[in-house]
Amino acid sequence: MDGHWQYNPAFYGEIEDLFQAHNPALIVLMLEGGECARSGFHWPAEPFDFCLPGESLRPVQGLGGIIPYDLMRENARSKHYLLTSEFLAKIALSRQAPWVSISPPPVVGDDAFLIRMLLRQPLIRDEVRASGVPPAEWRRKMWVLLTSLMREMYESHDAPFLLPPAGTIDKDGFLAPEFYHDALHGNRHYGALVLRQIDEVLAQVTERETV
Amino acid sequence: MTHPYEGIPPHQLWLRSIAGVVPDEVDPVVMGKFKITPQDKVATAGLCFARNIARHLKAAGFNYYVSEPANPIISPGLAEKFGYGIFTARYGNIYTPRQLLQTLRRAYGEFHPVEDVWQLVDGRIVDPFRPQIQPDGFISMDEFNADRRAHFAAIRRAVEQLDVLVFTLGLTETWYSRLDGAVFPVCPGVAGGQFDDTRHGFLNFSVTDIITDLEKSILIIREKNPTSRFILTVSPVPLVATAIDRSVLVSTTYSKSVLRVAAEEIARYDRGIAYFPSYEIITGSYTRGAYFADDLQSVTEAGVSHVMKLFLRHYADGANQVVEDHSPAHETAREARMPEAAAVMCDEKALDVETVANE
Repeated sequence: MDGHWQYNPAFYGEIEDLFQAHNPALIVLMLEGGECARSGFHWPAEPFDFCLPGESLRPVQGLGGIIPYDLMRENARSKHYLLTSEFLAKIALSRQAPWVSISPPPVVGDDAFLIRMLLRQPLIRDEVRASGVPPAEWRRKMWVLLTSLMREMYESHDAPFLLPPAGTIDKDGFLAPEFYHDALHGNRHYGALVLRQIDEVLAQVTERETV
Repeated sequence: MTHPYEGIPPHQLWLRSIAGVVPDEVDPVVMGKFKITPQDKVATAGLCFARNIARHLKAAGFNYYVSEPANPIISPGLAEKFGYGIFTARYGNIYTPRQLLQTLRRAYGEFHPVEDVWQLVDGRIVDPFRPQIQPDGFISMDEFNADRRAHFAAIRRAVEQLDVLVFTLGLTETWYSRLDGAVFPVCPGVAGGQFDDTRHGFLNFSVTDIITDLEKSILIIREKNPTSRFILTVSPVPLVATAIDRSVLVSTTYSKSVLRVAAEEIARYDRGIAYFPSYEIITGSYTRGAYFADDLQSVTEAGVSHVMKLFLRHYADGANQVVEDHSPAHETAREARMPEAAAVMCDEKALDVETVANE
């Protein structure tokens, strides 16, 4: 609409109705989570590497020159989160309850497992069959970059950002194998830990209200 | 013939080629020294004014050569903000031939300045030789080193593959390291680093210095790329500030005069080196200052268009020869954007702290 992507305006009314009908004690936001992992599944037209703050650059085979982190970040911010941020600003007007956002699960580091999962997905399987997936280290860095932007976006709307539960990330920064489910999601054990995180936040909210 | 002035062509006569001609039609180029085909890779280096040349070359269908482009995932506006595509490689402004020479020598591993890195208080890293290429600096030494390796490789590619280098001479004043003579595009302390007069000195190059540095630079390029040709221009943009205790106007005149003479000397006897009079086109008295914006420093779009019209007329061989519209309406819109455009890459602007703060 008007040359810009935007959510269907009717959706805002539906959200408002939901808020009024259920009067939630806490709103949990999980928008754009898939994008953080999915961005790492596709080889870019010109493969590139980049650095993350606080980490040394580990050379990865098959990647080209680097894109400075600040540039990556600004570019990703303008491409990924403007629409969602706009959406949050609008629904913030009708919310009564506090809200919290949750991080998407860390990326799967096991290439073979990931490829097996992606080959089941019609939209990407041909690409994966033809080119495989980018290196795990690069996927991890894309996830770190995009989740940091997601966190920044949520926090700018007063929605605290819950990191992946303790113990779900292995020593190399990937989803620990015992929490594997598919290409994008953690399994029910992962889900249980996230629910526990949300419970803790809810308890704090309830306690504040009681006081 | 009774005397040498008898029968000379109109372009040699002031009244007939300058005062008696509509300003838009004044043509001090007269004849290009060589032609550039649409296939020729045209590289640029120099300072802010050169970026206008790049923009028009692209619009006119020339093969404007960028050896260090941004990755295609980056949006064009952001790429420019980070210094991609403004010049052939991401070297930012190259103000002096000494800086050009040292840039080339560094790219080929022949010069390793002692003061090679500036660290900001937040730990970020600034490249002393392109201090504003990365708006907030590099996040780590790893990033800095990886980027610089790629940058040097891009410079080498440019040197070895360019057909024509358009180099815009900008300044004679510079600051250098007393340790090894490395020159900085901006005085240490302005956009990074710390000024220390035991380590940093000031130089105002002479004609001989400029000629020597230009000749050495051209020699390096020709050694790698024997058929390369050069077009030298002098930026008409006045100095933002002078480090000498005298009027900035006097320093500007010195600087431009030295550069102009040096360009003349270098180009005079070499068929592969041309001088292009953009300085004269913009600053000539026939314009009555009309090609300068309100700050009397930035060149208006009409001025740039005049320069490029003549550039294309005399140097283009089969290229599109389209010069951007500079009708009044278009001009107004363009000029409204000019301060922003100029602010992007002119490191030198940082010298005038008060003006920058008020912008």
